[in-house]
Amino acid sequence: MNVVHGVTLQGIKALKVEVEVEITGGLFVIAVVGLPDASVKEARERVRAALRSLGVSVKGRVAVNLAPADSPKEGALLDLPIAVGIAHAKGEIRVPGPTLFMGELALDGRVRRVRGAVPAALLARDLGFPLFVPEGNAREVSLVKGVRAWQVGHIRELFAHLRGQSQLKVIEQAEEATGDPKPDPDFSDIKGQVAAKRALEIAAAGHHNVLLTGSPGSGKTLLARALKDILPPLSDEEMMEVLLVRSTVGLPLDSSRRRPFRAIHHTSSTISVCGGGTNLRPGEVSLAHRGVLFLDEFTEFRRDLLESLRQPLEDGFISVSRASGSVTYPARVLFVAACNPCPCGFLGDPVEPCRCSPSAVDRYRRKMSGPILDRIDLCVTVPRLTPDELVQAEGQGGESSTRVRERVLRAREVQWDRWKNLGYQCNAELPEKALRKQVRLDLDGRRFLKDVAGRIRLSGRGISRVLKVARTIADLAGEENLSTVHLAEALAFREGGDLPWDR
Amino acid sequence: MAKHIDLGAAGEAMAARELLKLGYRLIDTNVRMKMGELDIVAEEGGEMVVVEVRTRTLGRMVPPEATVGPSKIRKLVRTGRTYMESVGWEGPWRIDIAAITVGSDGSPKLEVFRDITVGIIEP
Amino acid sequence: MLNACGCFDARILTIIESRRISWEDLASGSGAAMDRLGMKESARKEFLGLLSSGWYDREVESCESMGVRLIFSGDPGYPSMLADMIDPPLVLYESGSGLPSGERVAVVGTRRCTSYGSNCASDLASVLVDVGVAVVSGGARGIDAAAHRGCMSSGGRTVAVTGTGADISYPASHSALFREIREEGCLLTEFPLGTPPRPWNFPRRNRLIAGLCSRCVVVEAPEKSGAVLTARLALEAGREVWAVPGRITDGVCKGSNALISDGAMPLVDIRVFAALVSGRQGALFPTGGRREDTAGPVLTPEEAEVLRILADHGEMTVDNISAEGKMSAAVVLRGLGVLSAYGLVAPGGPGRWSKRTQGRG
Repeated sequence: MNVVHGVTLQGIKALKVEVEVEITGGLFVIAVVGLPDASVKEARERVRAALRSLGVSVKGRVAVNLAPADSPKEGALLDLPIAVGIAHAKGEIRVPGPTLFMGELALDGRVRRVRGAVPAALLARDLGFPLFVPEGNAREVSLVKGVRAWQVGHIRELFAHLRGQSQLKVIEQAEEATGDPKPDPDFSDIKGQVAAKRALEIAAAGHHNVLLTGSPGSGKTLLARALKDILPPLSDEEMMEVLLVRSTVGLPLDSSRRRPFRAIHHTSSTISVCGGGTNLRPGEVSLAHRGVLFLDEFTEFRRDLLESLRQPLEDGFISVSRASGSVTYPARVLFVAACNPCPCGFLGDPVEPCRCSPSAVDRYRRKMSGPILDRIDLCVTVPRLTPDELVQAEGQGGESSTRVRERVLRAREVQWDRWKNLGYQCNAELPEKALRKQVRLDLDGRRFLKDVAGRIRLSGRGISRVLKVARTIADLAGEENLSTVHLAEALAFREGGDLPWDR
Repeated sequence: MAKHIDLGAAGEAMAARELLKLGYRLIDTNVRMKMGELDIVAEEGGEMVVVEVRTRTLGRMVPPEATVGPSKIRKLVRTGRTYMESVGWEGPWRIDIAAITVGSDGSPKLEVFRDITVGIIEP
Repeated sequence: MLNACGCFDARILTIIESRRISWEDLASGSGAAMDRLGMKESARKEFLGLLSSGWYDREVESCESMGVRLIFSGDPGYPSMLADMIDPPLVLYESGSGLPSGERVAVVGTRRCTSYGSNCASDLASVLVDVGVAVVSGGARGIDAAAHRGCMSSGGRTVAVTGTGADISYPASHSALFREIREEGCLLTEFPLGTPPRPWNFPRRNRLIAGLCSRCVVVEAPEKSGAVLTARLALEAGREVWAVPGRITDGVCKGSNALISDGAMPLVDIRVFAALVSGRQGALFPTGGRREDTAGPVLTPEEAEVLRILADHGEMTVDNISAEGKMSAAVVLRGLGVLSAYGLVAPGGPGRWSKRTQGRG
């Protein structure tokens, strides 16, 4: 019965790998079955060096079998279990029962931090196995409830622990971080911009995707970053999802309930955004899961990159594949896109003249279409405030993010109650059919919408968007019934409503 | 070049003496097999050891241990394996090199390189 | 055909008469006749080329099938105002409902206008319609388009004089606009069918705009702009030139401002100007009845307040409006949402809104 186990990662899930060791006569060699060749050579060297540093001399032919043989494995994570397996087979140490080991070995025997500790911890918990992880991963594992784990700094300590000579440090479950992290930036740090802030409040309340249009220096990035702090804090389940993704990438973790914020640039590679590469690692869109994904200079994004963001937008996850297999990562994000009003950026600016020809502006506008824009419910323009206006705004104390978040939370509760039987959480999630059925207008409202829709030639999709946003506006106001007042405000955020008319 | 063979024989004798001092238990010397020759066969630390002896006078440019090239190593491995089988040894074994350098004043120096196939042999 | 050679205008007719060149001779391509006319080598070649290829018949046929009317100098339908010019056009290609008789005013300006300029042009055109004046412009982007649209949205008739053949829409994005103009007014050009927009066509077209109207208004134009040229041509033709003043720090209206200092009349009040043009005092005080005709929407007090603030203060951000009217952002946005849908306000740039008095672009 094999007691020594390691893990391999498939997406954000850890799979157990059994380590079987058999030592026979012959020239000394470590033969590893079940790892790709390149990793074998490296793992062998590290393991041998680490064992030698302990004075454990290994002789004869050592056959290491990693089962299941055909699943792709990552060498570095398996150093420690292989070393333990060899030592166990030699009788140097005894592993009492099925145990999970994880860690990369340095040549001097130190155990190095690896990625995927949280998935491994969940696996250990599910299997009921004890878990040994590198010191550097202790923090992550402490965030997982219900797992028996120890942290290892040097393989010597581990062997001493297994021999009963000393004790490794137990990883205690971390205490919940008390209090909310300080909003960065806080709404009150941003001067003026009440229209944009209102749009963000609505976006946060109903989980609506937003488009910010404004000249360079108008503060679009700052506003986008402020959104994450008015979103509700992560729930337990959501936090675990976020931890899983971050641990899979190998990023540091903390127990804050703040939503992730990731910004991608139009020059980012598709792999860095969507995931992929040698070990099929998650990309930015997954790191933004349950948070905000910011697309700056939206009009410059390549078509193929935008296309690949369709799946996260529509389904909330993303599939990454390679010849060796495919994996799905979670990718449920709130999209915030930002762009300029024209190629030079200063169309309609009170101070800077616009240098663009009308046809250049037309061409630029035409770039603003496609799968992402279709799913953006709120379009708001951000003026570049002149120094005078900034000074004026100084005096008007803006609300703090905490205050705004309170309203957002109340609106979310209303939506949760309303939609729970249908399986939705927010107004933005509603598909067209459900929307028409569930979101009802009174006679005035219907007349109003009909009148306006005709004047501005609102498409069917456009009407749906207005209804969704109006529903959220009403929820923020604590109103059950939709009225023209909510529709009117929703109209201010319609697509194209912010653009200067044809010149 | 008789001197060369003399040096060799003297070297082997000297190596054997030094190895004993290091705790090796001599089993056999000058073992001739069909595919090759083993200078010394010994036992040390629970393993069987095939020792290949190399001698050189100081002043030559190539250190003695470097004269054991890949094909020589392969030959030693094959020969060694056959030997172990023939004597019925199923346990672990290794190949060492005993390098003897003769100084200009005639004084010999012995250096032992343990387990030279580690990292080189593929399973 | 002489027209098509591209270098002749109606003066040639007088020359032909005075030198007693017979039309038959010319029509048969007689070298002697061409000599008497003093035709240049290049023009001769062109002329003979057209003759031999049977261009005339083809052109006439195409015009007929497209509904384009050919008006020759001397025809009864030829605008008398053009005949008064020094160099009137030989031929006019007219498509649409025909040139409106009565008072005509040219409204011209730059392609790269600001929202202020566009607004002005549109509102001016719209008010001119109310007093029975037709609006003439060049069918280009920017001020021209705003003037045409402003005129048509008030139900008026507008004339677009183009620098291309009657079958070409330049810019291409204006093909729908031109279709509308043909319904509500007419398209005029001096150039034969198929003529593409060449830079040197436009000064020639500008003189037609100037010639057709009693007054020429330049709304917003930088120095060295085609609109400024039109104004000068109008002056030469003895027409009244007006210009709308703009911010002296903006390059986009340097030309129109300069016209004022050179003697053009500053247009500072649309209604007063309209009254002047039409000679009708009544234009100064629009009747309540007319208000209802345009089926304006009924505004809530909040919406009306937002509109009032914009009317009083010009271009504002939501922050400004909110501070001025002591209304929350949500209320202001509500107002802007409705007002913009009804075409009463529009953004000039990101986040900056202003009122539009009448008409919609």
